[in-house]
Amino acid sequence: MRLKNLLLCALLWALPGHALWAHTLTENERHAIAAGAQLTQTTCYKTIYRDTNAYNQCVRDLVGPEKRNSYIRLGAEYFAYVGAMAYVRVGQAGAEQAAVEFLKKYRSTQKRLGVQDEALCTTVPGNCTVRIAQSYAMEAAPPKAAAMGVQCLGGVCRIAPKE
Amino acid sequence: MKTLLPSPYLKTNHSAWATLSSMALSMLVLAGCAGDGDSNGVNIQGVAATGAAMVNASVAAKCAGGSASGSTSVNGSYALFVANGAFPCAIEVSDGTHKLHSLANSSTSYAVANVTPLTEQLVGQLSADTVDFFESYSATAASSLSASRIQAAQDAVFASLTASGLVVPSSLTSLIQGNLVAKTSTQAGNDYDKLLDTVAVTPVNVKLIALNDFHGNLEPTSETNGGSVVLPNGGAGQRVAVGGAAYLATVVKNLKAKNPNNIMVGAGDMVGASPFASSITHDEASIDVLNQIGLEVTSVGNHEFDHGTAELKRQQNGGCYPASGSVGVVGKDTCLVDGKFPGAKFKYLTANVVDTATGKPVLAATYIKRFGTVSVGFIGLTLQGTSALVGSTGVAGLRFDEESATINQYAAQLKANGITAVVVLIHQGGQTTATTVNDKTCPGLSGDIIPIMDKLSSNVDVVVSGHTHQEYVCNYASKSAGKNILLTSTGFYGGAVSEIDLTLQPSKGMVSSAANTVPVIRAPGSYTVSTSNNTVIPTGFTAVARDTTIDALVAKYVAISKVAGSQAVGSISASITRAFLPNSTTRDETTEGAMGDLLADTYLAGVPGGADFALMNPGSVRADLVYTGTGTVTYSDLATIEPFGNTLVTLKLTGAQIVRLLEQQWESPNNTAKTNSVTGAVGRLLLPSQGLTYTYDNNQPAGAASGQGNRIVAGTLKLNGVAIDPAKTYKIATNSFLGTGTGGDNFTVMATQGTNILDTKVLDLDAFITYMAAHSPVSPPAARITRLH
Repeated sequence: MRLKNLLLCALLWALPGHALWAHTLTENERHAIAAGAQLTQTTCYKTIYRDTNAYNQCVRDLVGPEKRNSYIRLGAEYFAYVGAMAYVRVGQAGAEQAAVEFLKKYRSTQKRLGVQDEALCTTVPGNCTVRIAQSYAMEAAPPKAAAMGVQCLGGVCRIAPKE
Repeated sequence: MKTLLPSPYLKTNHSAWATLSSMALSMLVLAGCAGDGDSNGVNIQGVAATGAAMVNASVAAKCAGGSASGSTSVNGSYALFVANGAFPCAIEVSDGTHKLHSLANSSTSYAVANVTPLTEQLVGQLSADTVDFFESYSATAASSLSASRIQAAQDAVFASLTASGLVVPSSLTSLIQGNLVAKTSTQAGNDYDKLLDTVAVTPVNVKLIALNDFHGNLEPTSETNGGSVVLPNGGAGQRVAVGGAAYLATVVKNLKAKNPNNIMVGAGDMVGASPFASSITHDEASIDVLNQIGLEVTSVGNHEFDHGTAELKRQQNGGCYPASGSVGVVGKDTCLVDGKFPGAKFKYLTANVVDTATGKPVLAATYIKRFGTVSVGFIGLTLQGTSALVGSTGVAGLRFDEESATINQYAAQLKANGITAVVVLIHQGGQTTATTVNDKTCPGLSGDIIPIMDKLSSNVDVVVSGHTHQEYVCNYASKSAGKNILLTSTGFYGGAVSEIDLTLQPSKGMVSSAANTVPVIRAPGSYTVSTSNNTVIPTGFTAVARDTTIDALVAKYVAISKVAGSQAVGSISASITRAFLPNSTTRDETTEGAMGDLLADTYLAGVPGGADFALMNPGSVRADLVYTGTGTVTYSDLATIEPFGNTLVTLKLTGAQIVRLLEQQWESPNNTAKTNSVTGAVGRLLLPSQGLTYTYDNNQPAGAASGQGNRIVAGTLKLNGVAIDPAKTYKIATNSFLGTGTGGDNFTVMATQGTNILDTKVLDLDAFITYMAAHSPVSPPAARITRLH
């Protein structure tokens, strides 16, 4: 019985966000997610263009496990991913790594709370069809952490991500 | 004394004749009052109209030798006698709604000078800023106004009318002196007046091509660092490789070909924090390339102040970089074309950057361009917080004013001066939550541009923004009711431009606007940097080939940079690097890095007069020395590591103050500014020179208020093995970023509590070069800081 439960849990865990286990959000839950998203947007988003590390750390501080209601936490993590992807689309250095980190985090929270992809997506403005497709594409083929190596351009050598 | 009437006026109808008779009588009276008019002044008369008479409008004339003022009558006519004046004269008429200009010229002492939107356009051919033209009109300006020059300006106006599909009445051969009867409640307008009516309602399409945050990226950059964008293509979209000045030039050329009424504009950070090919030339290379691509006007950004106001003015006005140590060598790193650097052809605008000595903007605040019968005024400014982003020497003597008030002030002035549309170029921006570029719904817009936008007046039509390296096209009315302003930004490093189309109507201003983000997509196979995803481009987008002229220019500067950069300056025995965050290219400022330690050593060795020890900040270390076989280190290696042009500063602190300075490494706000989630370290560690050693306890709390930190382990702070004496004074070498102003990166102790602060004017780079020459082969320095726990 215990093994069965474990297997069931594992199966549920593996399913994407639009699976049967997901539920429709109540207004309160939706508001909490939106509030969490806004928290990341107002507190951390400004930092990303200068320093993706600072952005990542800012979000980590926001969603510290003991600090947040789960739905607020989901919103904060989700916006962290969405914000990073808004910089992936213009090739910002470090944005992909930030997106990967927060995709994993929000997906974990999303599944634990049983929130549908579409319902989650509508809490942050943007094209949900593309955004959801991007999240699955990134999960299917996560960009590798930038491997460091010696790169010489224009006679200048430095340690940089390998192309 | 005689009064001449021009022939067109002799052919007018009765009403007009009555008017002109009245005017002639006025002239006679005025001339009579002035005595022997012919020899002591000039007579000017005409009609001011916009399609209707300009009634009771103020009229002013400026001539070589004198000026006069008056007002128009109920039919728009006026007459002035300018005592001691001589032709040609400039005329200005203002009725509170319109401000129009004209010229008066004659070989006699009498001239007719109508004042209309078309004479305004004529004067605009001579000087786009007609208000400034009138205000600064002098005998010198008058002497340059030949009859042929005026005629050429008029011909250009007629040509633009014809090009716009407008029919010019055959009877109208002179915009200034032609027969003009203005419409009033009692008389109909003549053909000239009706043409003015037609002009007023005829729209003109204008195209802006906007760029921001180019940062001197002449060559295509890495796809993971500004060299790619994600395009809409169904599903998750498609990433394509973008950027490179030669490709940018083609995109700009293609857009310009779509509408002759065009202008290329920028929103700051065109140069600064540039790659080596540009930075080695003090960004003369990028300015030359942007000149030739066709940039016409840009705001400044914070990076334009990296090297101070004098350098910004040099980049605008030309001249060689001042010779100092290893830099400023004509033909090597400055004045690379025939020993000269002509400066930017484009105008830098600094509306909110005020020279505190003069109270005026350091460069021009506005720029006006005329497109036939319409005009666009540009206001350029940078973010108010620029001084927090630039070393204090870069912004010394400058005040950065609040953005929205500055914009509203200049926008009102431009509109009052008759400018059709106002475009703001601002180095401040926002961020959206878009998934691909060119999402015109502008989802989730936030950021520091918002409070500025919310305070803008209705005089502003378009805002071209930057700074945040984001891309967006936003109709701000959808964000804030009543704010009919188009807001754009276009990413960074020349990966895309904004194509902004405006429809302007002289009588109404901007009647419509639209924008697209046009990515600079490199055609496959045309560059060695990956273009693997560029083979099939999503519908609606186009890949382009390199512009051959700009490609050759970029190649020339890259070659120059290689020659200058390849000069061997020393050697290393092993790689000397910064500290990095795990699996990241981001430098780790929470821990000691060998490269920064070495730079501190170069400060100590290179500072005139010597010092007890040196400190430098991790943010000023921009690259590494990588051992690649021979160990040879080149000039470009060093210039890439220290690109900011900081100078060495000496100052004195007591031992107690040194402890306070070091505690600032972990005090608020440095404790949250830099973190390493893997090691648990926080804060910014200053890099010490050899001889200075200490231990800190990572278990002691970080983030204490200023002056309350307590992490340095007592008795461990030593200089050459001897404990630092709290009461003793020590001489410290540092850089101008840390040691001047209020102190960079939240390290205030040196700049605000230090004594005998002296900027030695020695470039950090020169100290580095000298050190390498004297100490090669250089090995990675041993650690000087010990962390407990």
